[in-house]
This record gives sequence, structure tokens and C-alpha cells, in this order.
Amino acid sequence: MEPAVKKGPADILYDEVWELARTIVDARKQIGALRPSKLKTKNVSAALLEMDEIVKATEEASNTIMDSAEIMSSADASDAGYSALVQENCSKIFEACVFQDLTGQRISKVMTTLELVDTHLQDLQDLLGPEFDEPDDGVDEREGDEALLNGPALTDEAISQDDIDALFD
Amino acid sequence: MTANKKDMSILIVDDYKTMLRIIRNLLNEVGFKNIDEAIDGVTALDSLRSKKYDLIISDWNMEPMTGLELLKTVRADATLTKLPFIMVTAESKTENVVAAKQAGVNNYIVKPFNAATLRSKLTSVIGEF
Repeated sequence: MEPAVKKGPADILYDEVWELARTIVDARKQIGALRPSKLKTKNVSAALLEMDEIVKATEEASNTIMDSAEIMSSADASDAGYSALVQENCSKIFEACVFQDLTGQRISKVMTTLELVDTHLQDLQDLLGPEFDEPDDGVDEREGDEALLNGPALTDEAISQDDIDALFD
Repeated sequence: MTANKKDMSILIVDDYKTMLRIIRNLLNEVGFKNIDEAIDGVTALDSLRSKKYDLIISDWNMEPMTGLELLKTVRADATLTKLPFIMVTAESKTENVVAAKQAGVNNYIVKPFNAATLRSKLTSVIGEF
């Protein structure tokens, strides 16, 4: 058995640098395994396209339904063709309501992408460790009127029309 | 205000064309026909300065000028300050309603709403029609 060679400062520094380099290579491999480019270019881009289609479909359906409602409400009930006109426009409304099924399916796909993004973020958080994760303090940094713009509230956060009316009494 | 309330001139403001159409149809349903549209606060102000209106019904969340900014601008303008203003919005938190009320809104309708709610709020702002 060969006697152990005592390492000098240069050897210790070399080992440290080598270990650091290996850690960096490992981290890059693990980050690469998360496939961020695939997530960005395929999943997220696809989800954005799905969202765009949802907006278009709901707008198209709303317009079709309103077109039919306007035609029926402005029609003369004493006209001979009134019954057929109502029947025809009711059919158009039923057809337009198919959007609900299609948008439901598109929303499911978007939710799958969001879950995937969530999983990847969790993996990244695990990889980096708690020392690189600055906790969210939950403070809304917007100020003034801007801070009031939140869009539709969740059911348990919103107040009802009756509650709103009470504020005007 | 116009003698026959159903002849009153109403400006509806919303950046979502479908919602403009819905509000117009609901107003038609309760008897109002003299309705103009604007797609944001800036175009609404242009309309308000070029034509006399009896009522504004406005969304809140719009670019480049929000409904709240439009309301504050209207209340700060001596020629428009008394113009009845109803906010119709999806912003449904207490702080929103309080902020709108402090800015001088006459009533507040939360989306989605129906013709009965619109009629009731119109009545509370302009009286029976």
C-alpha cells in the first residue's frame, strides 16, 4: 500500500474547483432534463393558441346567439312565416351553444399545460434548493387605482349585487 | 334631462364589443333607443364633449383610460359633473365599490347582470321611466 500523499494548497484548490465544475455540469444536466425550450415553444405556445381560440369561439357564439335573438325580437308575430323564423333561429342558438363543449375541452388542455409548468417550477425549486428561493411576500406592488383592477373575483371573494346595493342605501 | 325619459341620450362605454351589444339590447328591451357607444374612456370623453348626454353606463377595466378615471374626469369637469354615471363591471370586491362611490358613481352593477337589475338601477338613478 502506497503511503498517502499529503495534498498541498494547490491540490486542495484544484479539488474544490473540480468539485464545483462537476456540480455545475450536474445542475445543467438536471435543468436540461426539465426541457425548458420544449415547455416554452411547444406547451406554452400551444396553450396561448388554445386561449386565443377560446376567445374567438365565445365571441362568435355570443354574436350568433344575439343575431338570432335580435331577429326574433324584431319579427312580427302576426307574420305567416313567424313560426318558421323562430324555429330556424332557435336551431341556430342551439348550434352556437356547442361552443361550451369545445371551449371546455380547450380549457382542459390549457390546464394540463399549467399543471406541467407547475411541476417544472417545483422541480426547479427542488433543484436550486431553498437558499435560492426568495419567498413571495404576497404584497401587491401596484398602487392607487391600478391596484383595484383585478377582473372578475373568485366566488368566495366577490360580493353580491345585494351587498353592493346595500353600500348605496 | 329629457322630458320623456325613454328619449334620453345614453352613452355606453365598454372595450368588449359583445358587452356593448348586450347592454344596448337590454336598454332597448326596457325602452331606451337613443344610445351611443364608446370603446374606452378616451373615446367616451370625446363623445361627451361633442354631444350632450343624459346618462353614462361604463365598464371599469379598459385601456387606455379606465372607467374609474373616466368617472373622476367627468366629476372634475364643471360641464359634466352632474351627469348620472352607472358603473357596470366584473370588479366585484368591496374596495372597488367603495372607490367608485367615493369618486361619485351613482350606481354600480356587477357583471353578469340581467334586464331586471339594469332596470332597477336605472330607476334608482333617473327615477321611474
